[in-house]
Amino acid sequence: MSDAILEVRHLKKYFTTPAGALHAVDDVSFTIEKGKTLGVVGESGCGKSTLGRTVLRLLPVTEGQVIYKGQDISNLSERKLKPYRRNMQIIFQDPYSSLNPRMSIRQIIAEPMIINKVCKSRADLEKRVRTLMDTVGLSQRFIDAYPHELDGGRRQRIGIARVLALEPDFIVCDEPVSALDVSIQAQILNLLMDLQDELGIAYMFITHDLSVVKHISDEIMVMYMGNCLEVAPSDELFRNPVHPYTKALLSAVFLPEVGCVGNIPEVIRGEVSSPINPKPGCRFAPRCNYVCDACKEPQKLKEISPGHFVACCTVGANGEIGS
Amino acid sequence: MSEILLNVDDLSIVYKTSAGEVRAVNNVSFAIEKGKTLGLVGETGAGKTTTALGILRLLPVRTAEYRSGTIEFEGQNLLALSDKEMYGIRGRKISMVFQDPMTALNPIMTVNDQIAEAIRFHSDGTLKREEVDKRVNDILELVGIPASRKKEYPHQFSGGMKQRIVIAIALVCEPALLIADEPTSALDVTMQAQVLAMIMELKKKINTSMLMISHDLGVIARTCDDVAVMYAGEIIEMAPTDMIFTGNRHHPYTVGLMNSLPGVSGNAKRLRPIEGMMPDPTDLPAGCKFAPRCPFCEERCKTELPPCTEQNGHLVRCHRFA
Ligand SMILES: Nc1ncnc2c1ncn2[C@@H]1O[C@H](COP(=O)(O)OP(=O)(O)OP(=O)(O)O)[C@@H](O)[C@H]1O
Ligand SMILES: Nc1ncnc2c1ncn2[C@@H]1O[C@H](COP(=O)(O)OP(=O)(O)O)[C@@H](O)[C@H]1O
Ligand code: SF4
Ligand SMILES: [Mg+2]
Ligand SMILES: [Mg+2]
Repeated sequence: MSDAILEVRHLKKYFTTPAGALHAVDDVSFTIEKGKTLGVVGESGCGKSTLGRTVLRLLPVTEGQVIYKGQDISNLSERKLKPYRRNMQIIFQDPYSSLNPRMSIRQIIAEPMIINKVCKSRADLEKRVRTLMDTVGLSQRFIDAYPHELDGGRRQRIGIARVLALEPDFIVCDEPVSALDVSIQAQILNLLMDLQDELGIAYMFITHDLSVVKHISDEIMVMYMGNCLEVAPSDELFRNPVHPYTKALLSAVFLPEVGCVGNIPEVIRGEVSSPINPKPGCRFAPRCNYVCDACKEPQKLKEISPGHFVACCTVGANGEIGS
Repeated sequence: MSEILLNVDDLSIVYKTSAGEVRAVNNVSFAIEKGKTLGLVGETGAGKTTTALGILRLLPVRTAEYRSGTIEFEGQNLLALSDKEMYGIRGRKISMVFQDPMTALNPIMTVNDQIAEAIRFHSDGTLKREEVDKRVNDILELVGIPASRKKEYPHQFSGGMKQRIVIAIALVCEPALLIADEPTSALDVTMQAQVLAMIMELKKKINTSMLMISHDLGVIARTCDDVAVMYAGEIIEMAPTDMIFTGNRHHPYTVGLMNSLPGVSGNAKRLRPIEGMMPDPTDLPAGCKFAPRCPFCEERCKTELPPCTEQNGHLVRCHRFA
């Protein structure tokens, strides 16, 4: 498809640990279209951040392809990769740790533009910095302030301004609002969505918060222990979750509803098993209620309705479980 | 008939810092009945943890100061007790669970030894070794951890397992009151469901009252009989849980909080967040603390502290309803 900005094919990222190979990302494929958002959800340690970093080549690829606008970048040298780096950026959960505490807000936002020689003159640079502050809703009176003087929401705005400075068309957002209070979180989510509308940026939006991912994504991918278990358009996934794990995950979301006092469904028992040298077959099997012999085989994604893919052998052609 | 277990009246707590006096808790009043759960909800810095530590008398001695109020527990004012008397109450009659399980677990002691220690402390050392062993196994079974793993150290367990162990230890003594400060905020949703289900089950079994602190309205909605919403150190709304989530008589901050939640305000593409931020606690507004952000702010809101008005057990601190 020509509208794809990013295509990921059978991507693997293994870490070498004393106990063996840790399969952080194991055979994951997806496509993100221009100006769209792919949400990536899953529990702690399932490989979301590793996937985001590997896609950006901040970590070396173990196997598979990352294709950015038709160019396979998975094996490019650092030198050949350089022009792509500008267009593909990342926003982190804790902007504080990624902002230099000794630099003023002006310097922080200007830095990537200086390094990449984006501006012709000092005046031009100053103007760009101020425009970017406006874009992200940061009052210009903070231009000479330092990161520690600002609250989490404003720091996240600086992080976003800095990333926008290079006019990327793809941004990995790794839990950008997870550390923020809901009222501030809502301000940042609105900002990210406005920027997408205006600038046509594509996002890979990583989060463990299902309400947030539903709100912001066009498509959602559910991960479990390095595998993709289900991908579907956002509305479809929430209307019709099919994989047993997705179902459990969605029923564990507690919205502030009326009349639910004392209603806490025990969704799944047990813990996530070890991602080090995992057995072939479905990784969710040890906690699954529908487990059968075929679950010991590697699971393939199958399309049960247009754009809705599930990796579970007990799911039939129409998406019913237990066939 | 309902019996009041904890009655907090007009509690105010400040921290003295180099930047000035932080007014963390301001004239807070609430009561918890026997066997009931009160939820304390609010954003970071609202004063939830300070309230909890204040009840337990665990505030930093050098910087924190009680400015007003009484904390009556089982009929006695905790603020009038000696340190020694208070020590006897903590961990026996009132237990607490915090967000990070590692603050409660000893990293160099096995899980078995830590649970056994709590059991011995509670029974004043009257139990025989085999009896203690048996109770440790019972407790582990109750929280879904195989007894075969009891010789392991805390770091060998997942976050959810550690938190379940902490809760089990907190409930060993069958306390009259459990104070849980964001007990599941660090956990994934499926683990959160497991831990909350466990708390609710154990709580019912021993008829413990609970003060449940959370920033998550969804968690509060499922675990609490009553809810108090905190903002800038004050309780600005308090009611039986369902009343907080229905009807039109709400504090503007509570409404803003609900509108900020993705997934709650229908399928609206844009959220309607509250503009601005919580005021600086060293420099609180004179009138309503929410006035600088409130869409309904009038002149009197800026100068006069709004009174608390009640209707059918539903308290709101706002001039609009006075
Ligand atoms: N540099 C590394 N070396 C070895 N193992 C790693 C490394 N980075 C991550 N891992 C492991 O890879 C797996 C996936 O980690 P990752 O950080 O991608 O998860 P995540 O989904 O982002 O989790 P969280 O929600 O907690 O951020 C985990 O088991 C983690 O311990
Ligand atoms: N030890 C302390 N010293 C000084 N200020 C503190 C201390 N602990 C908390 N505060 C301040 O008191 C206010 C209330 O904090 P806290 O009770 O932790 O709120 P919450 O638990 O609702 O997030 C905040 O402004 C916080 O910065
Ligand atoms: S008292 Fe006034 S400013 Fe405060 S919440 Fe009510 S209307 Fe708004
Ligand atoms: Mg991560
Ligand atoms: Mg707190």
